[in-house]
Amino acid sequence: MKFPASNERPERMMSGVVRGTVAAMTMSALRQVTTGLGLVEQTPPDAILKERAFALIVRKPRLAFFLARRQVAVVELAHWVYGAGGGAAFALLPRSFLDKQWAGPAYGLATWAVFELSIAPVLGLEQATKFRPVERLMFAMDHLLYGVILAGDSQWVMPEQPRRTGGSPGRRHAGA
Amino acid sequence: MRVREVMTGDLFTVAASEVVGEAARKMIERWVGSAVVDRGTSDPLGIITERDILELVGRGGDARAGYVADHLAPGSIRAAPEWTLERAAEAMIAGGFRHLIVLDEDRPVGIVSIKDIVGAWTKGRVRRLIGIQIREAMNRDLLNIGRDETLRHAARQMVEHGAGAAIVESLRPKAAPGIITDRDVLKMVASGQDPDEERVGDHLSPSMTFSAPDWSLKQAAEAMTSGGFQHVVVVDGSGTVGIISMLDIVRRWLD
Repeated sequence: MKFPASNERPERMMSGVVRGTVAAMTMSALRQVTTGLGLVEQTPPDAILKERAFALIVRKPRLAFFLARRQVAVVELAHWVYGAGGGAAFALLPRSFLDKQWAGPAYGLATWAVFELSIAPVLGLEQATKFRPVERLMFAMDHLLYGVILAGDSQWVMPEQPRRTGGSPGRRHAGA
Repeated sequence: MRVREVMTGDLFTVAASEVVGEAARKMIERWVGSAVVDRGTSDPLGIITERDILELVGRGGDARAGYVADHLAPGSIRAAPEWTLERAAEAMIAGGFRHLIVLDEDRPVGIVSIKDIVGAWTKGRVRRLIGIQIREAMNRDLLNIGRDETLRHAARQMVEHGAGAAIVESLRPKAAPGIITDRDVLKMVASGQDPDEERVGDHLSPSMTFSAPDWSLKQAAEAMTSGGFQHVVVVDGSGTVGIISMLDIVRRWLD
């Protein structure tokens, strides 16, 4: 497993931040639709703010006032920041993983799994206890979209690699 | 869960013959919202609370001259150690009390407050409140008081509206409002100030916070018990839309 060299990391992380932000923004657009159609009751960042954030800000009334009045914008911004962080982390993954065509979708689904299997139960969110197959499917789909957009063709995280000219997807960089 | 498991065993007592202002000063010193009153008879128990002192001020009384015996909380304010928390909460809701004296065979053994009950519930059965939003329990009938009004006027308004707190809008538009509560009136009485001279803007509650109407009631309950708040002001993009107290939470809980 080969991780990026230290001198490559800042540039790759910056690209990851930009792509992660754009991917999270795209997710937000999809969620506007799924929430509007009633397929999603509450998005994960929304649930965290409404069910858990109060404990952190309860002694900071000005911050609580700001969050309560501007929560729609705050929730979106927080989601984009989370997406940007996810993009930076993606950029630092080993080349052997990024080389795969399924790397982006798998990464997107993994970020969803992290929420469902650790963040939601650890924070005690209502979503962790409810049976909600349709909402879970929608979340899986929008995270899949995040991963696809984040990864693109993966060339952005491997600029020194020659672009694919043909052959099977799994062997793109077989000679590297 | 039973009352004996959450009550405070250390009874704070004031004499019935004490001046209200002095009793208020002792309550502030001990950081309590009520005091058991020793009447010096075979039936010694009464209780004086922040609410009773607010009523005294609101009805034009002089806390520096009035005696505790004349301003006791009305009605039955007693519980037994074996009562369930639900039963104690129902008694509080029915009487509008926030404190009950706990008697074991006519002997006072403690005091239980609404904060003790909400605190115990948020630790033990918090899931019951997860799916409920603050908007479902908050009070939308807001009492607004100007910053330049006297504390006497504020107390009178709060008594007439049956409110424990009033909203005080900020001088700047869109800035966070303040609140004044019965606790702040108690502090003013304890410091010996004149309610006809003191202005609301100088006595705003330092202990308050805000929430949105769609945040969970569980969060409000936890915030109140951990932050020591009696009230949370509810705001949205349009401004102040409600206020929620521990009594409101307990009322919704029992529903």
